[in-house]
Amino acid sequence: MIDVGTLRLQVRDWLSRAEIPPHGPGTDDRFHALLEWQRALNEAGWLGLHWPRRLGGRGMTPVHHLAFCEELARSGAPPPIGLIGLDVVGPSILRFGTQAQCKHFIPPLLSADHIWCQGFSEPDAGSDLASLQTEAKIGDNGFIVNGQKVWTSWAHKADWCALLVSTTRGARQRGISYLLVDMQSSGISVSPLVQMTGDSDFAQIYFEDVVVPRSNLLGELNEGWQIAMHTLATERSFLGVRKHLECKLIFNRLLELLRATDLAQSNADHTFETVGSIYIRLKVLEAQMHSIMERVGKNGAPSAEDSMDKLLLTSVEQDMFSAILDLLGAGRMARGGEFLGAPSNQWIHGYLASRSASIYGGTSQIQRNIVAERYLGLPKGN
Amino acid sequence: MVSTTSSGSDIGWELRVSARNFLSKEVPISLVRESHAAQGMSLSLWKSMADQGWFRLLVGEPNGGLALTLRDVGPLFMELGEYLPPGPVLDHVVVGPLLINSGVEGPLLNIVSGQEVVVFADPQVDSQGIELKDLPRVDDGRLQGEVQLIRCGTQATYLIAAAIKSKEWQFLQLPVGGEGVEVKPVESFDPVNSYATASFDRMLQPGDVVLSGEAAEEALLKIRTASQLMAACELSGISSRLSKMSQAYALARSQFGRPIGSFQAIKHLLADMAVKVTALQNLCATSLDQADSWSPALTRIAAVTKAYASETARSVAEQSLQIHGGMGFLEEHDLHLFFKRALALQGFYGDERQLATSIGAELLAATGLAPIPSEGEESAGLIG
Repeated sequence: MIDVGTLRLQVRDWLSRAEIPPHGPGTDDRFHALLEWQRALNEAGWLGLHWPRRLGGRGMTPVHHLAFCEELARSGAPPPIGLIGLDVVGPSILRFGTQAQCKHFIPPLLSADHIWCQGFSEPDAGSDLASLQTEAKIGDNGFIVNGQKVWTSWAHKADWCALLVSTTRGARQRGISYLLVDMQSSGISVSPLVQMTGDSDFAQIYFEDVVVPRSNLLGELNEGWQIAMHTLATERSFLGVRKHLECKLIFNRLLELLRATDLAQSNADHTFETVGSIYIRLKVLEAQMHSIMERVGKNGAPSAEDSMDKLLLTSVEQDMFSAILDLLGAGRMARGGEFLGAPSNQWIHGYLASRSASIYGGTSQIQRNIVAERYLGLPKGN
Repeated sequence: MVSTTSSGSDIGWELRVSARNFLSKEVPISLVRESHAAQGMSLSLWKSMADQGWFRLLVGEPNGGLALTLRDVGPLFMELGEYLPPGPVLDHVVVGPLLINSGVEGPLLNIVSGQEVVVFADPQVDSQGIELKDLPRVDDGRLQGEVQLIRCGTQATYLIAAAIKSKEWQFLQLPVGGEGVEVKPVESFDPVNSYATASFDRMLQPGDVVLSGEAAEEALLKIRTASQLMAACELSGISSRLSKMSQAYALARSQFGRPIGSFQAIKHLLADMAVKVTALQNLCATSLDQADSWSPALTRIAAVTKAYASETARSVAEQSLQIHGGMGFLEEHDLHLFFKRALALQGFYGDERQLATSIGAELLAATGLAPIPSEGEESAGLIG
């Protein structure tokens, strides 16, 4: 197995010669280009680095995978479009799936032949996910699913859905199962949601008497909750590594623009302080990455420390975009305007998008509960 | 319970463990209170520290030291933050040895045994920036001026003052209470250091001047950088101590029939504190890893670490008090001692706002290479 340093050099070399699709908002239009990008990454052997070889991976370690994610982000290249499959659902299938399920689902997940979405939250079940109402009744052909999901990223483009269902009414965590659902099944309809940023990354999914074969149950019946928790925690750790580098790239861009301006005018001190404080926070995040790498290297299992990492990442990301927005002054509502010779829109968009960081993947309030109860050992309350 | 990264030197780890054993026995909180009330320090404790070998850790081998590095002693300072031993530890563990290694001799050499107490008098320890004309100066062989906020000035036997001569820095080793060296105590909140103001009006004598010109300038930069980094480590220790204290309190204190730690509002305060404390520990660890030898990059690293440490400790102190409620507000509770030490260190060689401003100014003045390594730069990799 090559060491991580060598891997980094190989990745950088490959990226320097690859045709990288542009990054940024409006991903929907560029779906096809991003699909091809994932295929190219997979063919070059960069995806599933830490997954078993017999399933299309390369049998390396999670640290190798994180290093690859870093290099990809550092180069400014977009992440693979099948990110939910790669970083969220895939690990859960590997951990809890049967051999047959792994064989069936993992290779196409890597090659982008299957794009995955996550059907967890519902309009009435967000933070209190255990109260979900989408029901799966056991019939002759398998499960019959009825219900509704929301906040499903890429549902309108997905081939498969990791679906959390209730298989014992009223039993909350103890009655939840995890199904792998073909989005081509009859009875499924998708309706996109539009965010306040103008993007449309999410959708609602409606299930009406959807048939799901018994063999598409992941893990045991009524034991889906632990799988869901595994899925959510895994999502958290990889997110940090990627986001940290994206933030650095944005900061570098900001510096370039500011340096090209003459700041000897009024408010220079305030601008200096703003820039310096963002830099300090990014350095704090960078130091945290060291500890994440170490933890992942020793033992890849998700833990309450992932929640601490998400809280830190969220605060740094939100502080950064907030501070940058404030630099725009009165120009902050002029989307079509210019700031330091660059479109204001990207900064305003960045700020608005950053407000969701404390909400998705488990709100900051929930993360604090996790840290308090599972990391600090404080007693469960109410 | 709080995770520490495994980076850092083995010596650093051993030092930390032995420091903890020493401090937990020799520095009960009652000693901290006594010294604070007397606005002094315990000389017998000081001798014990010397016997531990603390004052020779950074001293080079030619002078009988262990030639360790900042990376090795950082963990010691984290431990200091948990116990608050009174006295100018920074001066004897770090600053004095740095000066010895720069060739300064005389009474300074006796700091190792604890026989002399020698402190560094930097007129710019408050990085608000004093104007050149207000710095102490040497003109025609005569030193005049004032330095404020000298740590343990009235307990020191000597001080090494930084002054300006013909637009260059000059260090002078002066006997406290000697001719033209008047040191007056200033009442201090800080439970660890008393403070003093030194007023100078002295015709310099042979042996007074110990370092000049470029050598003094270089030493000054190293002293300030090291002081920031060690203060950050101490603040990390203080933050850690306060957050553990708060967690324990939240479990022990009951209201409405249950521990207050079972209420979400308290949980969230403690969770926020845990995130900050851990982040600061991680930052100190990665910064110390780069402090194994001197490099110009270390000045920025120290400033960043100090800035975040200042901000974190202040916020953790305030939140800790909030969790302790009325009890924490009492003089008889130990919390205020850590709170006040955090306040004292917050502004030492720059608080988070001052440092952010100067870092930002540097970043914007630079041209060419972006400050964060980009593709192709070796230091970009986090591992391997």
